[in-house]
Amino acid sequence: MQKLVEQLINGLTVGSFYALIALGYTMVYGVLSMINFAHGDIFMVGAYFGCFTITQLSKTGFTESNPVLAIIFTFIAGAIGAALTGITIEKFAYRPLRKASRLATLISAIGTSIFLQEFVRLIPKFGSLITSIHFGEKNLFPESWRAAIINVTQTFGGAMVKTYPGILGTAGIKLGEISISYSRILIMAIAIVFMVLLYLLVRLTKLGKAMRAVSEDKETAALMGIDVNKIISNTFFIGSALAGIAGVMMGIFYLQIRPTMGFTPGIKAFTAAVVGGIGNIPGAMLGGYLLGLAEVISIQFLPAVYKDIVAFAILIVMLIVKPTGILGGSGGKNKL
Amino acid sequence: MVPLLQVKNIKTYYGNICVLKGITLEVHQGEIVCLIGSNGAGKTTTLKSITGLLHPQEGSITFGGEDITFLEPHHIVEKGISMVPEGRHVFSKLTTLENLEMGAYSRKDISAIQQDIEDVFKLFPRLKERSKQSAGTLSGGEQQMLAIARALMAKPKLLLLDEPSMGLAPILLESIFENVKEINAQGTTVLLVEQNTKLALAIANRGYVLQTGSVSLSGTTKDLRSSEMVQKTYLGIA
Ligand SMILES: Nc1ncnc2c1ncn2[C@@H]1O[C@H](COP(=O)(O)OP(=O)(O)O)[C@@H](O)[C@H]1O
Ligand SMILES: [Mg+2]
Repeated sequence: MQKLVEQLINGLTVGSFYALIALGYTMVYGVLSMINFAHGDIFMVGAYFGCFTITQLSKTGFTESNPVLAIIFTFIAGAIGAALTGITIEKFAYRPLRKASRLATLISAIGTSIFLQEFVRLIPKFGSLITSIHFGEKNLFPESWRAAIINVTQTFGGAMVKTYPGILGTAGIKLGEISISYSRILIMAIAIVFMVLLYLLVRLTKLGKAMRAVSEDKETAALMGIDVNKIISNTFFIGSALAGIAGVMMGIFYLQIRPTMGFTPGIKAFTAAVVGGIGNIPGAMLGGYLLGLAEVISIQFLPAVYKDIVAFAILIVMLIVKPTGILGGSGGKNKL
Repeated sequence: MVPLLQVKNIKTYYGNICVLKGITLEVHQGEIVCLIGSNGAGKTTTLKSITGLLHPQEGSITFGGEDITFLEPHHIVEKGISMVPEGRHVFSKLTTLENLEMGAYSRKDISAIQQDIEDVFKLFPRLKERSKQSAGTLSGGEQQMLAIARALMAKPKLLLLDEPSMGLAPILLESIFENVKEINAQGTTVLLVEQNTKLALAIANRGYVLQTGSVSLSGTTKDLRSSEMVQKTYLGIA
């Protein structure tokens, strides 16, 4: 019994990651009918922005004196870093291809995914590169700047694994026999809060209604006076920010991050979005938690190495049985 | 007097196919002007060029004396032109009320919007009963009313209507055209595209006949009704 509840909580924790990332896939699909295959890497970039922030805060001793604020700043940095990455990608990699074939956009997305991974991996190299630029005897940057640039680029990225300082440790609460760590509670709480906020935003605000209008019919939305490009950009901003938050959660929970970390959660979150009904926001949340739970349940019966296979088996079964997903409409007309 | 809308010799293309081969037309403040012509003549393309969904490669469009040829649609709405697109295009997943709110998207006078929603409900009482329903569940006639009401929510100076009669039951036809007359009487200038030539000529002041991307005839509705070409081709009078 105790084991079962702990596995359930484990499933909800993992599901929180999937759900938050899946929302980005589904929102972008909703407004552009495209799969943003770079979304998993936006999640990774968020984790790196968070890692850089918490590392710097810890160096100055701020984390120790203000742990709550430090965590909040880390989440904000991860969210904003990922969001800015997302809107930049949309503007330069997708917008010019809006009228092109779906295949062109797909290739652009895959290219962007590789680009982001390599970029984060090579950041320290760029640091040494630009600090070595010189004209004759004179270097482009003064000595003190060079040290700072090298320091920042090396702290931020690189091919090696980066480590989040273990802020929350393994402490937690105990309910009878069952212990739940604070980091799990934090992750589940943050995921729920942001999903509720997103739901309210999409249902009730002017921006949310405009997003739904754009998702249904861009030409008519433009006739209403909606700046369609701006709404698409805002959609990328929000979806990417949620991925960035998930990235920071991943860092806080698993401690280690690397440039390729976005791949597996990305593709699983995509699975979650499809299972829930891609384009459908509550569907993405539902799909994320279902997938998280399915994975931990599978561990009860199968060796743990099979858990990735379970996710994709679910994807394949779903695509055969109900390609529009659990909450999806019919005929691919699935919209925000 | 300077016309409210002046379209001067516009040529609009889809890819490299020239669809509008130089269209010139004017709409004056307070008028109902109709644009008639058979399927594929370029009526919708003309309206899309005016609203900025398409940009002509040659020619110019001015509204209230200001050049709007290359403005984007969301800026043109702010200038005071709204359009009821062909086939209604209501946002089917949004409620009736939300559709109306989208119509008012570009407005700055937020506090007046509520009152205007009440006003369009007076014009189309059926919509009020359906206000919480998603627009996709409305009947064709109700959707047409909603599309018109939504366009009115922008408080346009000029209302463009693209085939409002399409797919409507005969009884509804009359009432929609009555609505258009009433909207015009309340001060909104109207440019009406119609294939139902008889009804269009009945409510318009002036009209243009479009044939394969060019204006083949224009004049007062009286002139048009007495034209042999119009009678034969569009009114089915042999
Ligand atoms: N998206 C499009 N791409 C290419 N050709 C188009 C497109 N839309 C319309 N056309 C062509 O442009 C011409 C005018 O169309 P349209 O303006 O819709 O006519 P109308 O509204 O008078 O029926 C037609 O020959 C039509 O086939
Ligand atoms: Mg047409």
